[in-house]
Amino acid sequence: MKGFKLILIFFLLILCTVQSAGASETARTFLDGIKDYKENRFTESAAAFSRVADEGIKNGKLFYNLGNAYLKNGDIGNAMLWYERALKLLPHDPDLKFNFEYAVSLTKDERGDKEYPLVRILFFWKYLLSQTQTQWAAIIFNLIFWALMTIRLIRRKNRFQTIGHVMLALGLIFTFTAVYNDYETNFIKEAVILPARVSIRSGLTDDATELFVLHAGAKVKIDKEKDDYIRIAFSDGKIGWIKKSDAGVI
Amino acid sequence: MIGRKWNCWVFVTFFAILTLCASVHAAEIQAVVDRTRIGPGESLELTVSVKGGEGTVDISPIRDFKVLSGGTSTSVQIINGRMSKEVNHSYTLIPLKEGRLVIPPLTVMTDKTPRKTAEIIITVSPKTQDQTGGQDVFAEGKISNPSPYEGEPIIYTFRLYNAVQIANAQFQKPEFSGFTAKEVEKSQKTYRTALNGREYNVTALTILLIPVGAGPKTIDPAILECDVVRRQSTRRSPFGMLDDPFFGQNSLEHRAIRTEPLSVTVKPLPPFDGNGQFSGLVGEFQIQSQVDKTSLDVGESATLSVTVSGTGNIMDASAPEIGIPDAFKSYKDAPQEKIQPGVNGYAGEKVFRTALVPLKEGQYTLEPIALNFFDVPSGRYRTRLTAPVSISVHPSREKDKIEVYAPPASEARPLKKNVEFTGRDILPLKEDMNALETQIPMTTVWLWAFLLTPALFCLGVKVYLTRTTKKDDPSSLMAQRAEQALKDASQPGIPAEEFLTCLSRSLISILLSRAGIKGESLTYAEAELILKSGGFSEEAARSATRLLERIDSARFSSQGMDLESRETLLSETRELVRKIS
Repeated sequence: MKGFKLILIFFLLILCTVQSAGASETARTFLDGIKDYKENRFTESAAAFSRVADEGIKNGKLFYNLGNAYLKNGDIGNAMLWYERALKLLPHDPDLKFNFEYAVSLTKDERGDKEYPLVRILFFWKYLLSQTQTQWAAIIFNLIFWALMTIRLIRRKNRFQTIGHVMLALGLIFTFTAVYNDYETNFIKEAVILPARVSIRSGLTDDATELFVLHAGAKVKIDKEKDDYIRIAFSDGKIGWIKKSDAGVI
Repeated sequence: MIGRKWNCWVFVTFFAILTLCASVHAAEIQAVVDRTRIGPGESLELTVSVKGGEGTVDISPIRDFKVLSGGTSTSVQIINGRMSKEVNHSYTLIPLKEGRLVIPPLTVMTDKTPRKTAEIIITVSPKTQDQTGGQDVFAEGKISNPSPYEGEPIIYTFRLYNAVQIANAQFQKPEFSGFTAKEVEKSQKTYRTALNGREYNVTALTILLIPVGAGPKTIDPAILECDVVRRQSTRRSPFGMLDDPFFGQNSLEHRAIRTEPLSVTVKPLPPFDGNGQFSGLVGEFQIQSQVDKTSLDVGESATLSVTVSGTGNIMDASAPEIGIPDAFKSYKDAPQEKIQPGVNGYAGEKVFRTALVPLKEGQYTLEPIALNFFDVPSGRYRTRLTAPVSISVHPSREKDKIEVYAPPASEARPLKKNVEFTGRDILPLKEDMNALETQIPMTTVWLWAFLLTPALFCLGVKVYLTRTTKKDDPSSLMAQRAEQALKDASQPGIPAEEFLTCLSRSLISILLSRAGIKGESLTYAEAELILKSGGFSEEAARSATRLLERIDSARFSSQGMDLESRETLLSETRELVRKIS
């Protein structure tokens, strides 16, 4: 029994050591990326940040750094891709918004996903809060409403009518928004054009008719996937096929 | 047999007639010129005739001449019962060079059939030293300077020399591409001169040109179309009176006269390396400034007039930069100009007025205003300066008298400007180590779990309460009684008195259920109190007691109830019972 305990402790120690070694290696790569960036070695910096991201770390700040490194390296396509990914996690970060707007100003194609001011006014909370904030708002209002309902049940008193209605309305609004956001995340796939110039074609071959041309940084919706090609939708009914490698999924 | 032979002859004869007719009706085309040898500046007449039909003439192959359309004439003749029609297309051709020039075969479309005219050779004799070339009518175009600077005005002069009488003159100016052109007003003049021992009447026209952009440019030939008056009557009449030209028989000879094309090489301006900004003016200019008041009070206005005058492209003069002290507010007025094109270029003045309003008292000096222009004779940039202007500003005398006229304190501040980026770059990296922490967004499953859990919990409480409530609990007992009474009241055919008793019982039971006590009756005050203490509003409690009162008054009065009233009362009671329960 004593021997078994010793083996267990030894095994746990090894596990902890391996884990901390892995973490320190990732941190070192991250710091290398920062150092390369500061010394204007943007290709090396982007490669270092990419290695960290490849380890499965999903963090808005890391994605922001990747966007910066690619932008400084003159790769507007990848810069826009990583800024878009970062915006999903840090929608209100001022640095990110500033750099993203600057990157947008460098792209050649007008943005296809035009936002309508009326929609922004009518559904302001969708644009004001991040996806996580909307989810928590829905959960909290929902919880308060059901708590009031439960108290009414237990106390058998017709109380909290006004506040109950308010909580119900808010709970419904935020629940629908959270569900729609969740649908957008899981079912509406978007991508960014990576090469400087891409021909959008009518078919799944390189010699298919060129329908229109997009440039690096253009944001498109992924409509369909087939073999090594994806069908993308830009704006005003502009759809066509491009190679998967020409677009980075956000 | 004879009949068949006869038929054959008839057929051959008919066919021959048809062929003849066809050949007779085929259109004939012909191109002729009035002469094949001309001098420089002279023109010739080309006539393309289409006989026996109509046609359209393609003159685009003519390259050696400038072509002016002379119109179309049609003539119809009937000779021996046969009608013939001829259409003549006339053109005036002006040679564009000297030597052997060609009028190539021209295509004439007649009845959808293209036909070609014959080629015609024209010899244009070279220009002689003699300016007149022995001609009785000729024209010349001249420019004052073949190599001006960009923006430097030059003069184009057109002169028409005629030793004979001309009529119906039509002048066609060159296009002056690469220049801005303006005819000098009242520049047309007529005078007489002698050339090579021959007297000519001269008509001159002056146009002012300003080159736009540097490089070689060509001024196209000017064209003048006119009719030369020819006297045909040569025999003297026995009556001297009839020798007067008025009675002579004159004929008109149409002529098109052109000038030679002119080459102009426009020199670019040298790079400006002086102080301030180049005004864009080329020529000779002066600048003056003047203030109508040099002593004024705070809030009072003075007018600063800056006058730019001179010769050259003065119409391009823009407002010069004026260093106005911060203690002044300034309001610019639209410039006033008095500019006239003349034989030496544009000349005149442009006045820029600015209203100055001092905001602070003190002694101020308006710095000299500079005007940088390009001086053509010296080929250098020159700077003219105005004299400095001193302005004394005294405290406002009206300030203490009428406060309402005093400018607000905020207006005394300098005007705010929209802040714009002076450079563009991105913001730096985020170096926090928490950038290595994964931000896991809530998954769909967790979201639904969080949303549904409170609802399920509430449902669970409801089920628990329902199950744990004792059957002899007064609340549930009275609630059951209320439901039963309502059910009884809904029975069809129930007498009115019993119907009303059921309704009353139902209402009282549900109110007692809410209070958690058993009983059979309630006062209206007790009913109202139960509802108020149960969280209902005063209005809701009062309307419930009013319903109870209505039921009771109907119950204890002997008045009968119609079916509609019963239905109304039943539905109101049912709604209230549901609400209270």
